[in-house]
Amino acid sequence: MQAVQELTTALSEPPAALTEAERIARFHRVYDRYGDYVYANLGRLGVPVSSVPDAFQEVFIVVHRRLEDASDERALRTWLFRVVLRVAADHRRAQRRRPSEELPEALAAHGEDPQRGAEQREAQAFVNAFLETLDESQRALFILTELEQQSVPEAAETLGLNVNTAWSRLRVLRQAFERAVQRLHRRTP
Amino acid sequence: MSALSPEARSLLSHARAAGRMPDHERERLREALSSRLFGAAAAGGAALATSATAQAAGTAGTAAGTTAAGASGGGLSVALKVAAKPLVSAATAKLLGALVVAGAVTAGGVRAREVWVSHTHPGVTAQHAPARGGHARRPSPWEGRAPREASAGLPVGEPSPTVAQGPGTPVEAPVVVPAVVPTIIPTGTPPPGPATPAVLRVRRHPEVVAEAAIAHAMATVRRVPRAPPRPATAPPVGTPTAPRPAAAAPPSGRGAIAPPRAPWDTAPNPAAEEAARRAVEDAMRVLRNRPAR
Repeated sequence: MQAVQELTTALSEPPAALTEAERIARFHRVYDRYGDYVYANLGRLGVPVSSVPDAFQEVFIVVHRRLEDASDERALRTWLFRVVLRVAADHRRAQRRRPSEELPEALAAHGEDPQRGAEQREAQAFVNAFLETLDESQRALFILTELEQQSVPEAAETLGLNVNTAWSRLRVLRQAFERAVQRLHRRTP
Repeated sequence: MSALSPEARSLLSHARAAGRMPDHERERLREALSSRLFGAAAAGGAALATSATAQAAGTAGTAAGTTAAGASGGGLSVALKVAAKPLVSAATAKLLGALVVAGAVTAGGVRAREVWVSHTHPGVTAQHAPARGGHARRPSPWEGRAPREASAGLPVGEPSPTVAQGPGTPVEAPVVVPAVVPTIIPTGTPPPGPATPAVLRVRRHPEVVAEAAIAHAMATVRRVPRAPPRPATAPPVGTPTAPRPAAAAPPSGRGAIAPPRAPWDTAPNPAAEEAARRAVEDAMRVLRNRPAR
């Protein structure tokens, strides 16, 4: 949380005052637009399943503090991902300090078609396991480009990378992912 | 630039779909955030304030629909601190206050004077020392002379690293409920499709954690061994003792809370336990939006 506060402070610009109604409306707009984005990426960045709702709320509390700056959509998405990165890092650190046992995901009921749901969860588990093998910057790059389907220049901007560096890293990441997929296919013919 | 194979793309596509936030979760979190940030649901109690909230003795118990009998007796000061992050419902927060007043929460063999609920460290910490963040408090009359020995070997929770050791140190022997309390509750709406009675939804909502923590606290009070009375408080042998003034009749009926006892008196207290049990039932009904019986 400390890191998030620092980030929030670092971004301080004199905000334009909003009325309470405007703040509420803007908050819900950001929530509707980026709720999925935040939720999914917290999980991908290694926040334990049971802590994702907590982390999600922390991100949106930061958003609430910075609502005045939430008018530029593109900048908002970039900034949001950085907040998500910091919050996820905080949660992973907390998890290391106080390890806890996750409830088996299989216990959770999912309303969708069971077959499809199972496939999706297996794929998610596989991708998450792959992400676990990456360092933080590789992980963020892979998430932004391959899961969030952002362009490489946009992802590079979010992560503060040179575009050519981002391309080069992504090529290596894709090769590593392909190898992981091939290993999976060999295990499960 | 190497392109991904169709298999890899398919896996990524499935993983993308699986990462989406479920609709019910979206609405639940929206509601929770709205009430927290814009105060829509905060009217029920001060416990939802985003900054630490200290409630005066008795108010917590009273607000929970219980009678805070003896809330200030024996100098017992109840501070219900809700850290900046938690989303503990007003009902839960008040209930915890009521449990403290009832003497149902103990720490290291000593009845708690504070219950600390944190969203980041879910659970209940009962302690004598000031909570982090500090607030003005009066020292309790038994501070520094409570039976410390009971904290050793207490078969619950994990001892806090801040447990004070050695004679003369302030008592701080928190009982910490495990960080994640596995709690499985049935969903309100069964998923579509064929009946699957085994299907449950797992939730780790702060309120659920708080409920489990309360249950844990109640289990704790039953397991704490009786500590010997403190001789320092006993009058010299042979001293004639004046008859004690008749105590006010304790309130009775549903919601009544037994008056607090001496801090070292950790023997089972059926009245307090029964009051706490009722308070738990009441709060859980509120939490689950069930109509009262």
